[in-house]
Amino acid sequence: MTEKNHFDGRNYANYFNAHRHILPNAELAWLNDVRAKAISSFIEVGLPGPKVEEWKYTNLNLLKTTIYETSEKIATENTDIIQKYALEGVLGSKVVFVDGYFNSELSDVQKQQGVVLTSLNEFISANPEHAEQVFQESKNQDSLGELNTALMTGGFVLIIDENIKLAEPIQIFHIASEKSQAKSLRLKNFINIKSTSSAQIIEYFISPDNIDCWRQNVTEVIVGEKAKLEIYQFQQEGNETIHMNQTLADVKESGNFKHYSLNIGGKISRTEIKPTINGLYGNVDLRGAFLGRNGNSHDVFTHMKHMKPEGDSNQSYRGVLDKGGKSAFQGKVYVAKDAQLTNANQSNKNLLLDRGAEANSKPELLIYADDVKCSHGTTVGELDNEAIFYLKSRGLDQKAAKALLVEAFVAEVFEDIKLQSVKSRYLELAGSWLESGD
Amino acid sequence: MTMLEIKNLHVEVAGQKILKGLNLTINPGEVHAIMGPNGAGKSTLAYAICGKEGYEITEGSVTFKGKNFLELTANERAGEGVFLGFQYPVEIPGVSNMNFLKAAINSLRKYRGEDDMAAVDFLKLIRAKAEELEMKPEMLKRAVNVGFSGGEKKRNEMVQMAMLEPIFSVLDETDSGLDIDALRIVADGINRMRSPEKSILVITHYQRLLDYVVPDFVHVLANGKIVKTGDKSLALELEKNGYAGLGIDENAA
Amino acid sequence: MVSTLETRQTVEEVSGDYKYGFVTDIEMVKAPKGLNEDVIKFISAKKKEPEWLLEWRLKAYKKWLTMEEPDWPMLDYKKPDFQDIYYYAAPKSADDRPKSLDEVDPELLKTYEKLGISLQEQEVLSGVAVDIVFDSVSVATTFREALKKRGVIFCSISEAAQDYPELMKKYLGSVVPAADNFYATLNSAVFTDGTFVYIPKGVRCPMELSTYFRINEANTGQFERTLIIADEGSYVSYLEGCTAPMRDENQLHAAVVELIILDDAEIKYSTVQNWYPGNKDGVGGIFNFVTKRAACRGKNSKVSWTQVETGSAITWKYPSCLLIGDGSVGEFYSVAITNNYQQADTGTKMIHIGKNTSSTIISKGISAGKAQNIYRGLVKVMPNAENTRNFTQCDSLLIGDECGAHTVPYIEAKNPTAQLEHEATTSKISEEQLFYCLQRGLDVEEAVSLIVNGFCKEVMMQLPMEFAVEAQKLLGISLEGSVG
Repeated sequence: MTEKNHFDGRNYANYFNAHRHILPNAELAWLNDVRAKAISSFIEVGLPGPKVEEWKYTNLNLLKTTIYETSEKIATENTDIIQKYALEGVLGSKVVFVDGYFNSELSDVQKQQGVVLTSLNEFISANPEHAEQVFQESKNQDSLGELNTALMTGGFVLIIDENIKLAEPIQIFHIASEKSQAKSLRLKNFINIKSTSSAQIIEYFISPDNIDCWRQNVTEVIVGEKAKLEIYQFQQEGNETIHMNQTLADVKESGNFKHYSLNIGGKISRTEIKPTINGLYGNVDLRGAFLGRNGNSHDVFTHMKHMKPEGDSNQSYRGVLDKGGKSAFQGKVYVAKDAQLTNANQSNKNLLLDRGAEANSKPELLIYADDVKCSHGTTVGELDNEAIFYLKSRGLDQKAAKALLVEAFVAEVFEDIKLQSVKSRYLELAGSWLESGD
Repeated sequence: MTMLEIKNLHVEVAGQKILKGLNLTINPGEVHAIMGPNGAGKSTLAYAICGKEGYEITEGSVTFKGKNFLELTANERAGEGVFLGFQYPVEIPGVSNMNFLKAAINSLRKYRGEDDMAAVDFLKLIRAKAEELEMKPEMLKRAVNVGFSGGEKKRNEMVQMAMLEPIFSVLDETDSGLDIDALRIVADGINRMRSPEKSILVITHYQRLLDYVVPDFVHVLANGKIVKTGDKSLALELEKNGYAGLGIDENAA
Repeated sequence: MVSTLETRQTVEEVSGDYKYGFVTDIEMVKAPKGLNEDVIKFISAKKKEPEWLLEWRLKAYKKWLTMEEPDWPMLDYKKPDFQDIYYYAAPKSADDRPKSLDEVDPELLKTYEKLGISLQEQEVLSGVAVDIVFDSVSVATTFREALKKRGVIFCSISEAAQDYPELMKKYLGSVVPAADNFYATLNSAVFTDGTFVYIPKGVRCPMELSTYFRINEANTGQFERTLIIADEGSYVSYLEGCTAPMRDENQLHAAVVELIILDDAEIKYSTVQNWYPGNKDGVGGIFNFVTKRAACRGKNSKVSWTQVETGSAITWKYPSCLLIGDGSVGEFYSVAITNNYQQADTGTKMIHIGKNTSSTIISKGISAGKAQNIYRGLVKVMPNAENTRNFTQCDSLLIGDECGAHTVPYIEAKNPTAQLEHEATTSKISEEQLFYCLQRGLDVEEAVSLIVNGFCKEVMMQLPMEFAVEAQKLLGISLEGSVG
């Protein structure tokens, strides 16, 4: 079904050949091979065009004409930014990337027995054999993933041995500086939570306004037997950023994977989550919200695969679109023939606040097992005028009333979060979003 | 001829042994009650008699009016005149009670080599039965058990029983979840079925129903077997002393 | 936990007999096999068509040559060889058309009797006016005179081309343009017959209009074209039924239906599609690739599509509504049953263009055997479509664990006053429901038929009485052998 479009891959081939030697760990032959293979796979298919079903709602034409050069490592400039975004009272490690490179000065990586938390480049140079194996087992699923592998400048690796429950969430900061104009920032991350272990990760994606950069972030996750992983993402990029964030998760028997996201920035923001339940009783919960206006285009794409019986999955997403905002939710649930007694739910609700706002939704069910309970629901609507009037009659002005209702609408998907600071930040951002607009 | 004869019945469900050598004989005209703690195997007995899938008979026999019942499918057993009043009557969306009963009656008639019942006769009959059991006529037009309260569901079972005229009825906890008025109507429905040719097997956890439907025999089922048989006084005794009075650990079953 | 193994084991294909699989032995007149301009000229000449229509066809044909068969549906089939099809096949006796039923070939009448739609019976008992399309030509139209008195035109589309050229020129291809899509364009080039209906202003059509389609001849394609115009304030209920004999090869049916609804008018369009589905091993059967579209052009106009799809090896169609007039209403009620190796990719498109438009979609998909059943639907709200309302409910039922049921809805809203709701569920016939029915004496097939009919009730209720009974039986027949 992949459609070849009129994309000229030679640009990228030439660019890759000219720059491969300056990419991190370029001296490692096997890594060079990995990158070379990836770029040729990418060129073979090219950038997804508008006729590729998965990209129906997001047009990538602007990537065909411009090459975003690979970002360069810069000296630490601004240390306040971590203070500004970090959640209070969260005491775990802090991992900071600036313009696609790990920044050790700003980071605070705490050592713990049985836990590997390091930058990808260090991981590769310190354990080349292990790293090679990790890349061998890596599962790129599309051409953009291949491009990311070919040109990645870093990433992080988190490996947690059996039976370890991380007490504090890890915070990961993806910061783009003013110097990232016309640059691409590409990270590849690996997370492996082994049996009965658990971890929580909070990620921030931040870039300045009016800086046109292209961020790619690909994370491959393994959630071991009875293991538990929670990922919380805050995407607050600047208005010109292209944000592409892909999470691939392999969930083993009785594994539990939760992924929360909030998207409020970027000119193109694409969040792809592709979990596969590969063992009995797997449990996946995907939740999030996207708020868009003035040229924001949010595209949340999920592909939930049930390969084994008695798995549960849930997807709940809320979209709020104001003038000039556009969104797409494309959710897919696939239940394989053997995945009997699967429970899968999908829900996507959208609010259109004004003219010139657009919401698209495609909640898809592909069911090959008969003894399953699968459902999905989608709604599109506007704010309830009665409710606005009620709030105004109690003294709130129009904007405050709307903001409150928007927050309430979005709150539903974040309600179950146990980490209070994370939950409050989500609600705060949703609540202040409307007011922060023009 | 004996109505129902169960000998040394062993039943497994999903590999778990539930009935372990149960014996029971019921003659025409008799009303039997089976009591027992939760998990004793009461519902399993009902399903095994009626031929539900997944209830595997590993040993023993069930004979109904001289026929080997185990060779018959569930609908054939219904055709022979067995009715099961479900503990949890099943909802069938979109199928009206009326249509459902018409399909059931005509299937039973077909099994017995009779022609379909005339539509007019059917309507007369169902209206009469619904009235007897104090069921509102509009309930007949609603989908089978969909959105019915617990009591309405049980009453619906009684209307079905009255319509299908079984010679042997198994009533699985028909009394559970009923208020006293509903209980009286249901008991009334059961008593209407009593006749010298017909038999009834009442499965219940409490003796409450037996105040209204007086059984000829009371059996206590525990741990997959009938451990005691008596007359209605046994039920009263159980009420007073509990299963522990018989040396049965209610939680161990 | 109750084991379901036994039921699964019984979910094996038992040859479900196709009840309408007889072949009528009538002499046929055929165009040469294959497709080229000469064949199109032959068809046009046979139909004594005006010049403009031949040109219209040839233009479509030229366009078609440049098009590619789309492969986006979730369907798996060997694409037809378009040079191995007869594009025109007419019973010989049609060269001098019967003036009344007495003149109709008795073999034909017998065929319809087997179908349970004997013309006389229809005429006398049900008062349904029937146009019958047999392979490529319309063989008889009943009740035409009675309708004429009210100003209703009900005739074959070939006749309409001769007798009502103005209406034809104005509306043909105005909803489904000749170059719309691969199969619609093919149809535009080679359509052989079909039905034309015009309901004049303010007329409520006094009876249900009905067409029966049947593919009889081997290796023929059927390309009928239906055009219905409901003028201001009028109403018509139109039914179509389809059958075909059993054949080992796949036969192509590529129809186009265009509905035009003007101010305050309403069309109710019901289909019971029972083309031959192929045998239990997936050999043979009809490819049913149909373009159906309604344009609600007038204010407060309304269209209601109801379809019961039980036949065809492959069904691929999306009866759609263009809600252009303010306050217009579109409805789509669908039951699609697939058994054995059948595949169906069907649904609808509701395009909200005018203000205060509303649409309802109720889709029930049942999949058994090794079949695949796909609902694909689009609800689109254009920027100026104020106060759009849509409600969509898609339910899938799976029988057995070798089939698939898929739901692919697209919801696209560009106006903030829209209220759109979409719900979908997937489930199976529960063991509990089945046992409950068996315990009351129903056998497995009766039980499945009853439960499935219940599942489809909201859609079946929409069918006119004449069709409802037949359709109910069809549901049961289609699922024979799927359980037990």
